[in-house]
Amino acid sequence: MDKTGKKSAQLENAHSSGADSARKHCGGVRLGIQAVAALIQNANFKGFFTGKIYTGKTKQVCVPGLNCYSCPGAVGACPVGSLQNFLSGLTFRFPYYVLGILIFIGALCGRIVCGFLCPFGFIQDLLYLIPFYKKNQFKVDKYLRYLKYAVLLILVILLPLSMPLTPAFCKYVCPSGTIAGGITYVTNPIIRSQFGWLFNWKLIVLGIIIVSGLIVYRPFCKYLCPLGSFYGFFNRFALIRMRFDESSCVHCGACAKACKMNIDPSKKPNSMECIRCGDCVRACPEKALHIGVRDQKTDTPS
Amino acid sequence: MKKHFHIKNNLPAVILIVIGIALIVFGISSGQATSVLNKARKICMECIGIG
Repeated sequence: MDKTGKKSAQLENAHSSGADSARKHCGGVRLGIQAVAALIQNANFKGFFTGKIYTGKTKQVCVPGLNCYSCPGAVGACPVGSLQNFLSGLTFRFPYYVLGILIFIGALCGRIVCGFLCPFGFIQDLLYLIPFYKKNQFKVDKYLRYLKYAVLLILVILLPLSMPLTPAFCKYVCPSGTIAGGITYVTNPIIRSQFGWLFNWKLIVLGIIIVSGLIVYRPFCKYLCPLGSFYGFFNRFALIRMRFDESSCVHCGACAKACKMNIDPSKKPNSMECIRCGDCVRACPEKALHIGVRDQKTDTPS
Repeated sequence: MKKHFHIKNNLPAVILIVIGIALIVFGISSGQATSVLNKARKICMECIGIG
C-alpha cells in the first residue's frame, strides 16, 4: 500500500466507532483517576458539614494541583498560596521548600498534574461534558494563552513581593478559593457576616470561568492558571513526558483532531500547553505517541 | 516496537529532580514546612474572599 492509501486507511481506522468507544472508555478512566485524586486531596469530609478546616500535620505538604488550603475538605497545602505566602511575608524568605516541591513535581511529570491530579481541572472536565454550545477554537485563543504567564509573573510573584501580606492571585482570581469561600459561607455562620465586595468580585470571576468552561475546554488552565504555566516549562524535560516516534507517524492528523487543548502533538509533542490527557495517544492509529519514561523506536530489520 | 530508557535524553529531568529534592530538604531544615503548616491550618481570608 502506498503512503496516501495507508494514510486514508489509517484515518478511516482512527475515526471508526471502535476507536471512539475505546477513547471514551479511557477518558472515563481518567475521570475516575481525577475523582479519586480530588477526594484524596479533600479527604476531610467532616469539614464540608462543619465549615471548619483541617489542621493536621499533612497540611505542611503542598498538593500538586490547585486546591485551596482554606477549603474545609483540604488535607494539604496549596502550592500557589504557599508560594505567595513566602513572597508576601513582612520579612522576605526565599521559598526553598515550595519551589523545591514545584520543581520536583514539574521535573517528574510536568503537566500530567493538570490532566490527572488537579481538582479544578477535574471540575472543568465535568463542565465541558455538559451538553451546551461548544466553541473550542477561535482567533484570539493563541494570544489569550500568554495571559497565564502574566498571571504567574505579576499576580503570583511581583505583586506579593512588592505588597506585603497580599497574595494577589488568591485574593483576586483563584476560583478554588472562591469555591472554598462558598462552602464556608454556607456552613460557617460566624464567618458568613464578613463576606463583602471581594467575595462578590471573586464570584463574578468564578462565574465567568464556569460559563466559559461550558463552551471552551478548560479555559482556566488555558488562559489563567499560574500553576499550569509553571509546570508547562517542564513539559519538554520532564521524566514522564510525551515520546513521539516520527518514523511511525503517517501524518493522518488524528492526534491533532483529538486534542482539546488545540495542539498538534505530531509537531509539538511536548508543547507547554499539553495537559497529558492522553487523547492523542489513544487516537493515534500507529501508536507513534506514548507518555512514559522510555523512548520508543521502531524495529528495523538488520 | 522496542522502548529504551536513555539516561542522556532524561538527564535534565534527573538533574532537576535532584535540585528539587535538595531544595525541599533545605527548606524543611530551615523550618519552611512548619511555616506552610502554620499558614495552611488557619482560614486564609484573602483566599475565600473576605480580604
